[in-house]
Amino acid sequence: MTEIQYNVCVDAYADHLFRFVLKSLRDDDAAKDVVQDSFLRLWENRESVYDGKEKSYLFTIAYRLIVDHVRLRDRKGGSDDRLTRMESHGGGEYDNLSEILSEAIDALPDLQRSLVLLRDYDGYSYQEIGEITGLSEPQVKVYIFRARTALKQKLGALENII
Amino acid sequence: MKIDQNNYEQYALDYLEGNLAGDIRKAFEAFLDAHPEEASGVRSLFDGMPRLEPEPWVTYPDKQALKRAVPMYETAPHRTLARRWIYYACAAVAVVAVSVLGVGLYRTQPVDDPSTSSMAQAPATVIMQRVARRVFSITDRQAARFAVSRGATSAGSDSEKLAAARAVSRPATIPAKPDRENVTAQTAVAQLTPASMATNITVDPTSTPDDADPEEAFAVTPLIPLLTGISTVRPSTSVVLPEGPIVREMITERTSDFDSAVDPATGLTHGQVLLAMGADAPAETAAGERFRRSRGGKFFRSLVQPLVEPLDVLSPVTVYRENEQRIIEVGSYIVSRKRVNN
Repeated sequence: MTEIQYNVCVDAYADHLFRFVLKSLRDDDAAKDVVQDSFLRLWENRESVYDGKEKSYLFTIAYRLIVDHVRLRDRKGGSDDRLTRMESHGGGEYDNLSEILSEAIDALPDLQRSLVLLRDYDGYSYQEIGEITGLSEPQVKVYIFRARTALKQKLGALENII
Repeated sequence: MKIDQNNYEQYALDYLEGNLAGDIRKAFEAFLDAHPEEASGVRSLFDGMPRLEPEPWVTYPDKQALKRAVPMYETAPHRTLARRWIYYACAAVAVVAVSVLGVGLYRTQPVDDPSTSSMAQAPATVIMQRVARRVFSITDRQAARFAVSRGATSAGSDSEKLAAARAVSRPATIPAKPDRENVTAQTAVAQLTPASMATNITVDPTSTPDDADPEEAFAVTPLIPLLTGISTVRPSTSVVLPEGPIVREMITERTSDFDSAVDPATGLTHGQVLLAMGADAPAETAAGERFRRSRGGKFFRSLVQPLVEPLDVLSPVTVYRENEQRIIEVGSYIVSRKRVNN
């Protein structure tokens, strides 16, 4: 991987990765750190990352960093809930819906939230999510099913507003 | 496949997304019919599973900070061409280095080149006699220093070499001028395997020049070529010399491998010494001649020759032996003037 190829990856995946991490951690500064560390590791291990696998590698590293961050946060006494929501640019009609959905997502366990984000935000297959998170495919399906059921129960008729 | 309350969740998503088929689907539906509580949870998602929508307005604030600086040759419009030039430059440097080294080694080898001097075509015995005569008829040391360097390092065809080698295998007595006594200088005796190929050059001490020091003798320093004629034959290092402590010492010091043997006086390898000695002699080959006349060759000699001159080098001498009907150079020797301190 050359510098040019690496920079292409930054342009292509930085936003996706940031959304995933931000939604998972709900901490703007921590999310930036995780994204920065993920790209740093991509560059450091550029010789061992196969062509076309850069995105999966980035999400795998980011997921591990998220898990580490959550564990550290839990040991310190729980979340400080420094949720920094990004400014909405042209998405005004979704403000209320976004807040409802965000609250519902925030209420999910960390693991379930991350799996749903990988599935819905980035369209990963259950198998790919398993590779990123280190879970088996049936485990991924179980966690996501439970997350969707919980969201459904919390949001009620969510299909009508999304 | 048995579906129960412990594993039904792993099939629920595939069922809702229409990815369950055949017997598994029937088994799953049978499970839902038998378990209405679990079925209500699954079927509640039938009319729409909550899915998160990407939020494209959420972007990483400073992507430029994540990027890495791109080397100039990567950003250049013709970076491929730039890379090629780098390769070309490296290749050119390598070729020049190999050429200089190759010529240096080549000049130490006997070659079959008809363009060489007439002396090179003569039998080795005659050559070596001439060399010895020149050694002992020196009146001007500076003039003699390189005069005979063309000697036996060159030769003709294999058959001529063979004849020369057979002749060399017989002792060669050097005519002498009877104006000096009490000086014995025996040089260039290489007892090589097989013993029949021993080469003896007996130098009459009375042939030393008038201005020579009575205590001056001639040392023979073996130069073992890195690429001896047919390079699979390693020169014998068991060089046996007749009496003469200086000669013996010199031989002992310089019977190491050619490429690693460094002259203690000059710090040069033997190949470099020979190349510098050939500066005033006709080049053995056209390529060598071109190099000798080239700017690089002149520059090389200008560096090396001042270091070699103090050795008082007189001639390189090459000894051949027969091996499987071919003549192989087994050793080159520098005949140099050496003061005897006894």
